[in-house]
Amino acid sequence: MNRHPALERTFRWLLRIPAWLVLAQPAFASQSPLLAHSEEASRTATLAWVLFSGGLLVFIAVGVLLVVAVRGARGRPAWMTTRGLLVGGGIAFPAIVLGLLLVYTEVVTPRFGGELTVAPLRVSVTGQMWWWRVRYHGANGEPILVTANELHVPIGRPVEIVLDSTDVIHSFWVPGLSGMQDMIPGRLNRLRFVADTAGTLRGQCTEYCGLQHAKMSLDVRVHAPEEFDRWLAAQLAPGRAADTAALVRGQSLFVDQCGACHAVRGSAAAGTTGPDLTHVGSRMSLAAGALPNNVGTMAAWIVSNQHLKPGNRMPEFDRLSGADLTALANYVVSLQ
Amino acid sequence: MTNRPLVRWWLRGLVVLLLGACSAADEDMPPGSLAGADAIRRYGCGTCHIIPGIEGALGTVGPSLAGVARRVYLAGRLPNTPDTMAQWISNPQRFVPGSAMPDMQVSLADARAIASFLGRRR
Amino acid sequence: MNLTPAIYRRIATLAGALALVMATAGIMLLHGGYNVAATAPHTAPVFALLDYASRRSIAVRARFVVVPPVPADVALGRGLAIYRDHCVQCHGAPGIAPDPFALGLSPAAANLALVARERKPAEVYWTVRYGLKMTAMPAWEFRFSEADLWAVTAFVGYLAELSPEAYRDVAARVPAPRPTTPSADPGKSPPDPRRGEMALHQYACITCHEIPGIVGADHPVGPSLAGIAVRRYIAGTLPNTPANLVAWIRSPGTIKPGTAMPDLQVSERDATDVAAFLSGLR
Repeated sequence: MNRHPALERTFRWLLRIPAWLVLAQPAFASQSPLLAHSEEASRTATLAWVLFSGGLLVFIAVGVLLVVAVRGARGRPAWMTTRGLLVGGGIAFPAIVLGLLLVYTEVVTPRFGGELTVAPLRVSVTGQMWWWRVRYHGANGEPILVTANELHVPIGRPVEIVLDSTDVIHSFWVPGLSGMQDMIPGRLNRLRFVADTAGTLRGQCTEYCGLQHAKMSLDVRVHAPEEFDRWLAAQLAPGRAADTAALVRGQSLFVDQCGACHAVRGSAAAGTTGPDLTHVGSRMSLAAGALPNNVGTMAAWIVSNQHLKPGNRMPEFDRLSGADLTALANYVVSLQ
Repeated sequence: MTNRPLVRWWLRGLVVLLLGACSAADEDMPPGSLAGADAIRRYGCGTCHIIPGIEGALGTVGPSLAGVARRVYLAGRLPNTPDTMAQWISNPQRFVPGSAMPDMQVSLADARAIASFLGRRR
Repeated sequence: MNLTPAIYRRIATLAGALALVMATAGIMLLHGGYNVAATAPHTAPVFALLDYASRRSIAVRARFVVVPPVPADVALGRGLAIYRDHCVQCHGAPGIAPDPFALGLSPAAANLALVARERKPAEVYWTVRYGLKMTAMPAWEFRFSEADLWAVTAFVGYLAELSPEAYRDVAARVPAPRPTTPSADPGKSPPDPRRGEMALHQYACITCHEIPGIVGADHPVGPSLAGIAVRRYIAGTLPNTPANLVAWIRSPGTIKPGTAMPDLQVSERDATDVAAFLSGLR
């Protein structure tokens, strides 16, 4: 058997790379499944680490055996050539380890059965190309708040997300809160979790749904319970009244040009085709996470949204004079 | 691969080089323009303007800002100096009422940083 | 053919000589070897070359021009009026000097009485209509209708026969003409982007805007016109429609008072042609 000193040396060197270089640091902390903000996500993250560590150990062990084996018969210790190692290490050991891991995975994976002691907060999220229609339900299941592209949940209270879609299959995934769940037209899927750490998270559609699938993200905020109640109360209030001349002009333009598809409670605009804009000024982003939210980007979206997110369902309103556009954008952004 | 220390150092260097690739995708910027680039990203100027050096800044609502430093006039009427550019950015409606560029409440410090960034792009 | 060492040597010698010539020329250009001052006339060989090239170019291109008959009263009426109001400033007239600014032009504006003797009417018309590159002679097709261009060409033909007194008499009697522009042409032609490209030169747009695809349009006084076809707003306030673009070109001061873009008296036809050209700049 030939010796390959160069190969040996390379292997030995590679084995010296510190483990922390190999372990993935969460690149985007708000969207990392390893930084959990709920019990379910914590369990999933732990499972991931267990599987990874186990796998790494096995990999190292096998690597060492490989290197030793490659050296040739002269350097091989006697115990390596016994049948016991082959059967025990090659068949029994993997079977046992994988079996244990399977059991562990089944135990840890979130399940929905079981009674709930506290009524969950029910939120319907409907996937549309390429945004999220979000409806909060009251105690009796009736919808009390319609909003879009943003999800707010309280700590410590079970949240049940009812998922569906009106066009193609989407998939809901907020890595910090839970696993993925498909949103299938004509079917209601459910997702349950209990958030336990406050913060700002990010979700993504994880089922290819068309041209702008990559720009369909979801902003999520996890609040302390009092803070969540305050947020909900603010959202339930009607949209800000137009109290200056400029805002009145903006509002009349809005009702005129936008009211057919968008709704702002408290104004004459009541369209339901597009996202509800009653409090759009307070959202963390525009266009399902595609743009920052300020009066400039709002104007850019109104005028050139097909350039920013080609194929999206909103037409470009590029015949507004500069003054009209500014008035309209200022009004929409004032809807905090 | 006969020189063990050399190989070791070479591979270490390779790893460090590869890790160095984990940085912003924007092209190399001269020092001091990071604040300007950051402000541009925060305010989302790229949704309306093409801005070389800012990833994703491909807007077609307003004119491209490529080579804006060489231009004689800003907004068709202001002589182009770093000061007037900062003033324009922080309050466009004052100079061109009815402009499609809204007043975005850009602080003067941010406006100066943005003007400084754009001023280096000749 | 057998490439012997001798042939290689010959090729190498030629290539080397050529490289040497180009290098010398390059160095000369780099150090401003050629004096472009108006007070430093061309050397005789360079002048002869340029003059000959210009004459041949006009002669060959004017071959296809069909000369219509122009009545004498038109030539000595409208033609004379146009000549008096637009040509005398640079070319002078019998017994009348050009304006002071035009006296130092290089190349000098020709005496048109001599031109009338030495050149054909078709060539005169061609020069009047298309202008001359690298001289101060503009392309008058952008300022006058076809009929007017022929009227003034016909008048130039009479110049050789007018004494200074006769010219003075006739010129005094003719009233100032009503201005007409190409857009007054009865036939409505569809927007012509190629003509629009010419108009960009003729209205000096290239001196203030970078325009992709136009040689010499590289001056960033105003914003670049690259991508203007997909830009949403003109001048920051007008939605970018063909009608708005034409309105802006024709009267920027009305739309944006205080703008540095001047009113260039662009006719509607020219503005439409320019807009047609700009709509191709994506």
